[in-house]
Amino acid sequence: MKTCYRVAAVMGLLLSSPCMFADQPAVKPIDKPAAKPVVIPFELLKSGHMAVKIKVNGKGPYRVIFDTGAPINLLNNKLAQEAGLLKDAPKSVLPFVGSIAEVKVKELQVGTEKAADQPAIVMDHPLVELMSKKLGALYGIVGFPFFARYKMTIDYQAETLTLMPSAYKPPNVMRSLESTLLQLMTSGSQTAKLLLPAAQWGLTARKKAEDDEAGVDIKEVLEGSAAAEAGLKVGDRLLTIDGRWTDTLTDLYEIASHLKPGVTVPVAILRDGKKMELKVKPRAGL
Amino acid sequence: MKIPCSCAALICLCLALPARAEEPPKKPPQSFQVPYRLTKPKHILVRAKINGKGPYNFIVDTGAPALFVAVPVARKLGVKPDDKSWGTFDRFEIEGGVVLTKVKGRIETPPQVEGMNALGLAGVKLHGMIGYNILARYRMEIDFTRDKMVWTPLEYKMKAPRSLGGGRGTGGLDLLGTLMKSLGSFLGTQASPPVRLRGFLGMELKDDDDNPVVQAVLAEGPAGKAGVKVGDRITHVQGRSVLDTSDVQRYVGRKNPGEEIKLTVQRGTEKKDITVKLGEGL
Repeated sequence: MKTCYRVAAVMGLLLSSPCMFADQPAVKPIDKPAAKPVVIPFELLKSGHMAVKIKVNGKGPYRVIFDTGAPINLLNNKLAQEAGLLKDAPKSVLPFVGSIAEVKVKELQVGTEKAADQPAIVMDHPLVELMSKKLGALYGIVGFPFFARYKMTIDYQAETLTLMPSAYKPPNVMRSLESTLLQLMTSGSQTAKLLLPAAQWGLTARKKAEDDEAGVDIKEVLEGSAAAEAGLKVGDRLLTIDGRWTDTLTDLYEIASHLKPGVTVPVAILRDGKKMELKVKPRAGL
Repeated sequence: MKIPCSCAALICLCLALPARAEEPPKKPPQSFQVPYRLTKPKHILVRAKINGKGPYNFIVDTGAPALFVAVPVARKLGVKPDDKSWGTFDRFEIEGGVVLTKVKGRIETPPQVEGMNALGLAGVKLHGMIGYNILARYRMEIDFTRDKMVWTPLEYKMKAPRSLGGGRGTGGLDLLGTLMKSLGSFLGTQASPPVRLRGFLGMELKDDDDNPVVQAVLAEGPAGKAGVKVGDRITHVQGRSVLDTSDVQRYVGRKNPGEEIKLTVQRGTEKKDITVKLGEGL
């Protein structure tokens, strides 16, 4: 019970820093990647999951689930033991999952692609155990820390995974959880998230409370502004900016917070019942 | 202590789910640019409208064997689950133009989603997951250096995944979900935090040697009405010195629309304080 309480307490502490897009792609794409794409076949399990073969520090192969929904790599205790991952790692025991440790894998090989220094959690995940019983041995999950380093193409028809190294450096989810924790010790509750448009458009918009149709209404267009220059008019219904729905003022500000001055973006509107596309080049200012 | 705690939280973030899916493929014609966001726990989040309502937030999850739609969403849409908790969604549109019709999905709130929502872990309210029976119809290119994925329709013959049998065991995850939920209600947390919209000044700025300089003023905007002029060099906002536009952004961000903010400008040899009432807009 005490452990339960502490686990719950920590979970409770994880809720501050409401910056949900703090980790938006911040890295420039590589212009001419020297590396060639690596094609890795996967096995489509009867359950609809993707399974791949991995080697851990040269040991294996082990069959694991490839999961875009997993923020961490997960390896079970059997694999960890065989690959010698648990030598110096501090272990703990928790309800539902048994022994747990956080480890760093020197070399994680998925198919023919090798990744160095991959963080992983050693744990007998209850769902993986369950699937293992039904679908044949599964030793864990490969997730975000691995695949985020690549431009990845998933093709269920060919049953292949194609990986091409990208410039993206995945942050360590464990570390960011811990820093969130620390931050919470000092602050406390959820704070309102401030949406800062990154450039100036020169318009105001509105959405009436009872209006649940797509888009927002343009209420004002300031003379001489980027919006005016693009041909936006009062009364236009703004549907999308850069392919993203603008159904609320929050949507509008959220999108604007990612669009830099001087970069032209397509804007879809409805004017007199007709769909139109305009180009807006927002300016530096506020 | 730190490690097991974080681990326990992470269990709930792993979305692998045992279930099954069944669905014949449909084939739209071209490639789609699908905008996504990464949530705090690094899940790939896309938005979708179901039967024209929404948008709802879904995680792109190869660890989910099917589309999962949270129970309250399906209820709101009036989509009734069959006796095995499957429902049919007439129109499922993913942001970026991907449209699926008559798509089947589980009407079920996975405990992980429930837990994350209760504690606001994702930073946004989640409504479900998009899994195999949708993902298998597209070749998906995911590159975190770009802000959009590329989905190209495939002529895919769905290999109907089989039920894992023996009911839907969650191996204790439902308990963890419940635990997180009760804690969330105790702390009064929301799935998505409230937002504030920055106030509007209506002036263009360019960073110069020491300070930002006003390049243009929108005549009917708040700064224009308050008397800010082209060429004004902004030295202080609210009495704090500013070196560039991002400083101005930051200090203005501390106020809400409707509130006043004091700009100190250098105009020629003259120093002037100008009070601007922040407007709405961007």
